[in-house]
Amino acid sequence: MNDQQIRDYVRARTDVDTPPDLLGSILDAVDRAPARRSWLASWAPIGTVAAAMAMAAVALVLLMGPSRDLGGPSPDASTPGPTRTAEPTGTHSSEPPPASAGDLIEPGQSIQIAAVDSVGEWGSIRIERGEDLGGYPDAQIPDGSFVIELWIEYDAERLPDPPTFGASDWALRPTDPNAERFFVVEPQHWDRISGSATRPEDPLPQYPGAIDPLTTSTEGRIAFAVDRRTADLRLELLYWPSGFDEPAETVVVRLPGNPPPPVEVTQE
Amino acid sequence: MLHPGSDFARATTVRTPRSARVSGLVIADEAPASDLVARAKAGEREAFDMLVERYLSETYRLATGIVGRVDARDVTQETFVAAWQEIGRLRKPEAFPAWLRRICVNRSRNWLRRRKSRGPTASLDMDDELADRLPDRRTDFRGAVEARMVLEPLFDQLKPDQRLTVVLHYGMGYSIAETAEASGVRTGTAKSRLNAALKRLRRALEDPHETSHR
Repeated sequence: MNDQQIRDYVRARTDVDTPPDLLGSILDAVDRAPARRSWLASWAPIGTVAAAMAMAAVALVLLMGPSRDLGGPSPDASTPGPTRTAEPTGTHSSEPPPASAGDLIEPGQSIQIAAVDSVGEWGSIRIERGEDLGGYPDAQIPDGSFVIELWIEYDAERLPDPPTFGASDWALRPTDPNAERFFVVEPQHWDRISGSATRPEDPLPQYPGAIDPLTTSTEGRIAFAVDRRTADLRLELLYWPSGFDEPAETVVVRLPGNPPPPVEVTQE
Repeated sequence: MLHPGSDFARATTVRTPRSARVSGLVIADEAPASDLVARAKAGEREAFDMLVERYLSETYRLATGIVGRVDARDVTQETFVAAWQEIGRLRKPEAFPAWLRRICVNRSRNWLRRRKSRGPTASLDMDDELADRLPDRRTDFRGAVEARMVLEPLFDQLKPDQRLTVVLHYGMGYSIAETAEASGVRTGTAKSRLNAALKRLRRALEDPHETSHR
């Protein structure tokens, strides 16, 4: 036997006729398949609870002060707590640095950063600042919180290694690591419940779990539910890819200032 | 690149009573795939049905090559359901064939891993017709049967990534670049997987008893 016989064998494996009833079965299965929106909606009750727990955790951190648990990227995007705490590092700075041209302070501002992995740059990411919102008229947010929204677009030149990216890459925290109230907020669970009628854009997906990031656009909204008591802090967005001990990029997204007034839920 | 005789290059002629619900099917079958994809992205179900019909044969062949005939139906079905659910995110309509191929490969890979965790199947592919489809069976029937008997158990033992690489390249006739794209790896990785698979198969061919020891 030789290589030709190997090739012949493999070719013979694919030399098959399509069963005549398969087309009908597939079309029936597509009929029954839930739409993507339905899948997202199915997360809503879980997301509501998770988001409420997130805010509870944030409030706890605020009351207790800095934690000794240095937050790193969660190894499992499906189970992380929505909030992680971090120990202050670096030198104390009473005066926060001024906003730079690369910041995302105003709605509509956008920047582009490199998407990186353990090998190096694998593409680019466009980040656009969305609005600060007091809530949504058709989605309950945790009491005492407001929302910071951003729009994220990945443009992949190759698959990242490991192929894990998306919503779990992002977090929010005060810029001053010595701030009395230091915390990190992640968007995953909150992100899902905010896919509401008033915000029809898709939430940022998470890979793996979706398909083919090379030919499929990877973009979506991330929304952070932030405790209103932190509105006097300067907040920065963290790009924290899987496997990194520290954020690969930080961008200031909010200066101290009053949060938007709460929005009552009027549509369910 | 489309291959001569590829079902991605020509519309399939499969007709079932179910497909008759697609009005104007014969005419629409001639529509460019990118037009159908654009319409399907907009949520037009009939356009997607025509895409299913057009790419069904190629997708089923690919799934059969990787997971075997018993499971190929389910993998093919999963592939098209996922495509329908995600087509709104497909950025370039002209990339649809490669995108669909990639979904099929990913689904097949997952299937192999699940099957591995469940343990080997009772009769591999349960495909008693395979030997009949091997070439030169009239002139080398003994060799063909021998090849199947030796190769099939060994093929089933290849790592999922090696197995799908061999099927994409030798079974479906895709170039190394296309094989790499469908596998989601770099060209060099596809080459090394192909070489590793061939090396293992060759070794078994030289020493058929090795198969039973693995």
